[in-house]
Amino acid sequence: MTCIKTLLLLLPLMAFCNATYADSWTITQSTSATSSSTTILQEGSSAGAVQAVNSINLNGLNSTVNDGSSQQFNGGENNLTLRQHNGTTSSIQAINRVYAHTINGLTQGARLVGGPQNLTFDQASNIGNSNTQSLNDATTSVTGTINKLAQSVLDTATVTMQMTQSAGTQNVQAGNLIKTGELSSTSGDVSQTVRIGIVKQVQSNTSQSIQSGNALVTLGGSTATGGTLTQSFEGSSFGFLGFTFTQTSVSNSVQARNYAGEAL
Amino acid sequence: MHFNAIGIPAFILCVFNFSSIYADSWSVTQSVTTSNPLLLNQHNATGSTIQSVNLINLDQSSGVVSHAEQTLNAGGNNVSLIMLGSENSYQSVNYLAASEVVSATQNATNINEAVLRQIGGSNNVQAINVTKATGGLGVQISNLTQTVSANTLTLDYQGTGSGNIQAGNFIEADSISTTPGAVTQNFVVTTLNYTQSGTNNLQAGNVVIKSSASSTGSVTQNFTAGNVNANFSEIDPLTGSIKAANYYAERP
Repeated sequence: MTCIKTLLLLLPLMAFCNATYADSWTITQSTSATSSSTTILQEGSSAGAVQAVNSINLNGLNSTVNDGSSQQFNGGENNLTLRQHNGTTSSIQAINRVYAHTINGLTQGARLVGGPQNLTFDQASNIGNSNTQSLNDATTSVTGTINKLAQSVLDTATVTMQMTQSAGTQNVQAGNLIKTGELSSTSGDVSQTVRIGIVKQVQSNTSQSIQSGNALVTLGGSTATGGTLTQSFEGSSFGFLGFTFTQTSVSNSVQARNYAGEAL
Repeated sequence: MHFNAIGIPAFILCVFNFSSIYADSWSVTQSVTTSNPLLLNQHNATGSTIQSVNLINLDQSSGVVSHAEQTLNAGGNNVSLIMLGSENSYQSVNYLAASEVVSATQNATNINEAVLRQIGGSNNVQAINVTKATGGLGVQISNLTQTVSANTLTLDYQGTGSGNIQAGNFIEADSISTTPGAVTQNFVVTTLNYTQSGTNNLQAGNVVIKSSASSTGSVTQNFTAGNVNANFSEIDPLTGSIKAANYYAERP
C-alpha cells in the first residue's frame, strides 16, 4: 500500500526528471567559406524543405539546446546569395538554423567582412506561400521557450533584401529571425544585433509578408507567454541611390529594420 | 489514496495556469543608428501595410507591451517618408501597436530635415512616432513618452484624397491614463512647414485620435517651433482639413 502510494507520489517527479535530460544537446558548429562565393537556391516544387549551412534540428516536444552551444559562419570577402522562387512553399533557407523545444544558451553569428561583396536575399516571382529566408534563424515549437540567445550579423557588404513576387503570401525575410511564443523575461538574455554597410530593402506585390533586419515573429497568438528582447541595428551607410526602403503595390505587409510582432 | 493520486496533478495544473495571467506580454528594446540619410518609399500599398524603421506589432486584442523603447538616432541626417497612392496604410520611424501599452518610450532625435510627403491616396497615417492601442478593455495606454526633435519638419499633402493624417507624434486610443504627465508628446523643431490639399486631411505636430466623445484620458502635448510656415487656420471651412500645433479629438 505504502509502496504504491510512494510510487504515485513519485510519478510526476519522475516525469519532470526525465524531461530534464531528454534529448538534451550541447552543439558547436562552425563553417568557414572564404575562398569562393556561396549561392543557396530553392526552386521548383520544394515544399517543407530546409536548407542551412549550420543546422540543429531537434524534436519539438522535449528537446533542449544546452547553454554554451554555438553556430558560426564566416563568409570572408565573398558574395552570398539566398534565392527562393518558382513555386517554393513552406520552405526555409538560413545560414545558421536551430529548431528545438527549449534553447537554454546559443550564439549564432554570420560574418562577411573585408571586401566589396554583395549579400542578397531574393524571394522572386512565382514564389509560393509561407517561406522564410534569414542568416540566423532560431525557431521553437509553439509551446517552446528561448532562455538565452545572441544573434549577430556583421557585414561590410552591400545588402539587398528583395521580395519581388507575383502571388505569394506570408513570406518572411530577415537578417536575424526568432520564432517563438516565450522568451526569457530578463533583459539582455535574448538579443539580436545587425552591424552593416549599405542596405536596400524592396517589397513588390507581396501580401502578408515581413521584411526586416531583425525580426521576432511570435507564435501562438493570444496563447503566447511573452518575454524580453533587445534589437539593435547599426548602419554605417544606409543610402543606396537614396532608396533604402521601397514598397510597391503591396497588401498588409511590413518593412522594418527592427520588427517584433505577430505573423501577418 | 485516490485523493492523493488526483490531488497532485491538480495542484500542478494550478501552478501552470498561473502563468497564463501574463500571456502575450512583451518587453522590447529597439534601436537604430545611421550615418546616412534615410528614405522610405511606399507606392500603392493597401490593407494596413506598415513601413517603419522600428516596428512592434502585437495582437490588437491580446498583446500587451509591458515595456518598450524605440529609438532612432539619425546622426544629423535627413529622414524622408514618401507615400504615393496608398490606402489605409502607415509610414513611420517608430511604430507600436498592441491591445495595451503599460510603459513605452519612442524617440526620434538628431534629425536634420524630416519630410512627410503624400501624393494622392486616402486614410493613411504618416508620423515620426505612432502608438495605437484600441483593443484593450481597461486602460489602454498607462505610460508613454513620444519625442521628435528636428531642425526642419515638412508636412506636405498633394492631391485630392481625404482622411489622411500627417504628424510628428501620433497616438490612437480610447482609454488613456488620467495621471497628468503619464502620457506626453514632445515636438521640438526649429522650422515647421505645412502644405495641404484634398479634404478632411489633418496635419499637426502632436495628434491624439479617439474614437468617441466618451473616451477618457490625460495627455500632455508640448509643441515648440521657432518658425511656422503655413496659412494657418484651425479648420478650413471649404475642405474640412485641419492644420494644428496640437490636436486631441476624433478623426476629422
